Amino acid sequence: MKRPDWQLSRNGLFWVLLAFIAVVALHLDHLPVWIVVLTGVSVLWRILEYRGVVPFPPWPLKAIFVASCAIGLAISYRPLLGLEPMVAMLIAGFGLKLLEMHHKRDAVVLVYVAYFTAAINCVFTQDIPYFALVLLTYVITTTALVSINQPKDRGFSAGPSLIAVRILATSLPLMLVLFLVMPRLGTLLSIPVPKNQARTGVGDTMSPGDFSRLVGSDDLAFRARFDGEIPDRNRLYWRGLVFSGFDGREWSQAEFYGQDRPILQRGDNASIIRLGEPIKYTLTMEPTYQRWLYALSTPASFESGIRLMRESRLASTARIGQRRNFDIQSWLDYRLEPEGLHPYPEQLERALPSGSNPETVRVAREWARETQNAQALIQRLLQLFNRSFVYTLEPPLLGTHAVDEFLWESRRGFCEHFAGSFAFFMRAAGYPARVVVGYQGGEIHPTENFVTVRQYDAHAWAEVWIKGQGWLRVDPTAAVAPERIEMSLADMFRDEDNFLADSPLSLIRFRDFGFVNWIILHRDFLDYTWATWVLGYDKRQADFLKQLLGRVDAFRLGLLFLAAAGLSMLPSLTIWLINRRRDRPDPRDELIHRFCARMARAGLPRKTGEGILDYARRIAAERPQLEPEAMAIANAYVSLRYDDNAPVQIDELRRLVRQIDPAGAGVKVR
Amino acid sequence: MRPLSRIRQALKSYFQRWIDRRIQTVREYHLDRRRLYILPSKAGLGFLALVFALWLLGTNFENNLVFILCFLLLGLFIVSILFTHGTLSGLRVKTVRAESVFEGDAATIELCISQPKARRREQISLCFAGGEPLMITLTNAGDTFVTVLAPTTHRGFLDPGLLTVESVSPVGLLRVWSYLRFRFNAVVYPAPVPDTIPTTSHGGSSEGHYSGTTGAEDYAGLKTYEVGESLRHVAWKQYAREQGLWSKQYSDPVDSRVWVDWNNYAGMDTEQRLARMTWQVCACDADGRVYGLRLPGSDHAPDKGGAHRQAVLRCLALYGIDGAKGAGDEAT
Repeated sequence: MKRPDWQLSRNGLFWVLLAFIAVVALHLDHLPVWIVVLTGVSVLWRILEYRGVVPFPPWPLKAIFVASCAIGLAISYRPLLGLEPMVAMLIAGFGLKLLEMHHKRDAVVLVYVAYFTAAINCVFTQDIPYFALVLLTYVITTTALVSINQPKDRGFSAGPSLIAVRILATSLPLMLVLFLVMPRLGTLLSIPVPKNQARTGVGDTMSPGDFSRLVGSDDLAFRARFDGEIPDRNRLYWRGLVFSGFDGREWSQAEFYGQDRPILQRGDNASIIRLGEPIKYTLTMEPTYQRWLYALSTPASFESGIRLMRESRLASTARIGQRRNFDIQSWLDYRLEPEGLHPYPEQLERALPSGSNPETVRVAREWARETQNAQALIQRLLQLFNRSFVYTLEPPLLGTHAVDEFLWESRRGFCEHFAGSFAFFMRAAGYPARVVVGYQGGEIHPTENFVTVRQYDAHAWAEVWIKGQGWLRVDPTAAVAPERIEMSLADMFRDEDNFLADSPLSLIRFRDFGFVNWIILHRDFLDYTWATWVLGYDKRQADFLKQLLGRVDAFRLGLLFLAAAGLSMLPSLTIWLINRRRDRPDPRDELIHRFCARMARAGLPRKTGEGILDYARRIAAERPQLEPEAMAIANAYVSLRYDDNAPVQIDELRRLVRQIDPAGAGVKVR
Repeated sequence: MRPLSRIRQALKSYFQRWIDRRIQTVREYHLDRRRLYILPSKAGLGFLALVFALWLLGTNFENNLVFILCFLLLGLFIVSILFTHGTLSGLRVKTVRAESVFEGDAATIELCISQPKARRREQISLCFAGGEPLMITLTNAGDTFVTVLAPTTHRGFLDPGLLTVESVSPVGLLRVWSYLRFRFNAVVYPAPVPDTIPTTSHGGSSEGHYSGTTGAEDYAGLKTYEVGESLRHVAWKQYAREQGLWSKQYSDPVDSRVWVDWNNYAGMDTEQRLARMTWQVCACDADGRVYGLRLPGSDHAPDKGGAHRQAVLRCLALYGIDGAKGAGDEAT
């Protein structure tokens, strides 16, 4: 059956268009330009169409639109599987559907698509402001849903948004309880995690200049919340990757250490000796779209999907595409492979590219002969760094023999120059050496127990292997610029141009102002709470529910749901209770209703629209024995109701109604 | 396909019987928990599918924000049960008046819907079985009068079947509805079928041949128009001059008193006879003739005018129907 109300109203159209624009705005950074243009055109076309300026697109034109969209998607996305192409497809489809949206039905489908597409945005970013935008989009979309279901004659109004907000607010308690108690199942299908094109961060190779670039960014890298005391800054070496391969210019991971080969099994203590008590902390990583984690050496984790690698670092089996939490323990005192190296990595970690940096090789061999042991050699090199080298964000460009040029000519460099040349020098002197990259230090929150590490904390240092002692961490940067380790880089380089070059408006530039600092600290805290309690709730769910309910069973969960339902209905319930008192009928009317009901039971119901006096007369005519009582009741009611100075009291009416006996002889005899 | 439609038919008639038993006809319906039914609409099922899709998305990417949105929408669905129920809950519905009509025409039924307090209730649809739904929006406290059309399919007392009162407001995810059944005193007249069988003239002989113009020839003057008089006699010229609504009077020839007689339609079944007699009555009335009605067991003395026409047609409509009361028993 064709319904008279199938057509979409103007208000409905307006809100659907607004919801669509909101969704497109949410996804603006991962949509190709042509889709954004397409959506703009279709919104404009639909508006003009509504106003009667342009006709509906004829079908050949629509077919051309669809075909060109399909081709465009196929060109823009390869492969077509994944979240980003899906978003693009949904939005392109939405835009095309707009052009022929006339039915409420179509609009409802588009509203659902808007809900879904907006939710996908949460997979891309999980920051609080973005989520607030998604929630705003949900309010707009719900408003669209409400306005679609409103009468067509209603012009534009904000009314539906009030209803939408009211409904959404009412559903908040239910949402909260569902969120708290619904079990999480874990990944079902593996869909490629979105890749972020321009993500700054530590890469999987290192060549001169890489790290000074990172200093331009104050993006969050990760946070760590410690269970106990936070170790001193100079022990906070967050180990990411270990580079054993060197080709004369670029450091890289050794083939042998390929990501798919965990070299250490859990509990294999032959090569890692842990000393003392571990410190425990929760690492909240920002998405890196890489596999490695940043942990203090030597780490261990009992998370599923996290493996300990031979170089005493942690790696995840899946790429980290979203902000995630990891529980980690670290032993800061350790011996790493003290007795001997595995033959193949040892060969790599001693290797020198032939003919590379001849001057350094020559000097290293000479120094090795002149010193008695490794310690003395290291000290001598570090002293050289300390005396005549400059730590700077703007190192000069280096040529083919980068180490030679750096050590003997320019002598100006950033951490990667120091770490790389140090490791090379030690290899040339005959000791296995490698470069470790990750982050150093971070900002220790003054009141809360966590450390915030940003991209500009990226750092590189070296490790040297000495028989009997294992791998020793040597940070040549600390020798050149001890303050880099003691305070944060932000304090050191605040006035240099390169620092925060990518974030001109970063709040960190203005930390000197007390309130800016306050905002930064509280933002950090809020962000951290968000990460642990909302984004990482799955990990806490079991503990939290146990804490909340004492024991998790069906009865207590039921109570929780009831509490939520009560909370949802609290406002309406209050209003209802207040109104119920006000709605009580007039007591006089109530008595007359009772009288009519009793007469009706006796077979003489009052007719629609019959006045009470007429009714009484009819009763008198049909049941003469009831005449005096019926007339008395009718007269008493009329005078009570309509006469301001009534000669009778309401009690009189009550008595009369109580006494009449419609079935019997008139008055009940007791 | 056949057996399936038969099953559907059986289910439908079973449902009809169940509803008939369940719904007692009362004077005024109060829409409350016991009378209102609520189930997800088609859009609501789609919405649940959306919630499930969001749940899959959240589960697959282990994303708690998506879970929040998923549960928010699920919560929205659950609380909209209350909101949608509230659209109809607390309303009172009763009939005010219904006009008698010919079978096949739509009966206009005036209903009174009242709510205790001023509150906006949107998109309430009122629909008799097989009729066009009427969409209304209530805003004020107290009574609202609406007119709903109901198709008629057989003569007798007007019985438009179940009135479905429904709404999907405010979000369209759920449909709340109630079935109401009303009794009417108004009747459905048989559908007139034209014929050429002559009326019996007053004397009882069948000689007076009926002709369409007899009795309308002798113009006698103008008289104020009364509701129920034939529109053919309206003095349109005067009306066009804005002199008011007048009807032209014709003097009746002496022999224009006729009987619309059951016995004239030999060889036809009851319904065929009634249909033709109805046409005859209408024709006589239109021509301003004085006519009477003869049915087995009851006669109506010849007369003319709106009230007579109604009484005669009512007799035809209720012929052979149980519970037929005399005309003018109760004005509904």
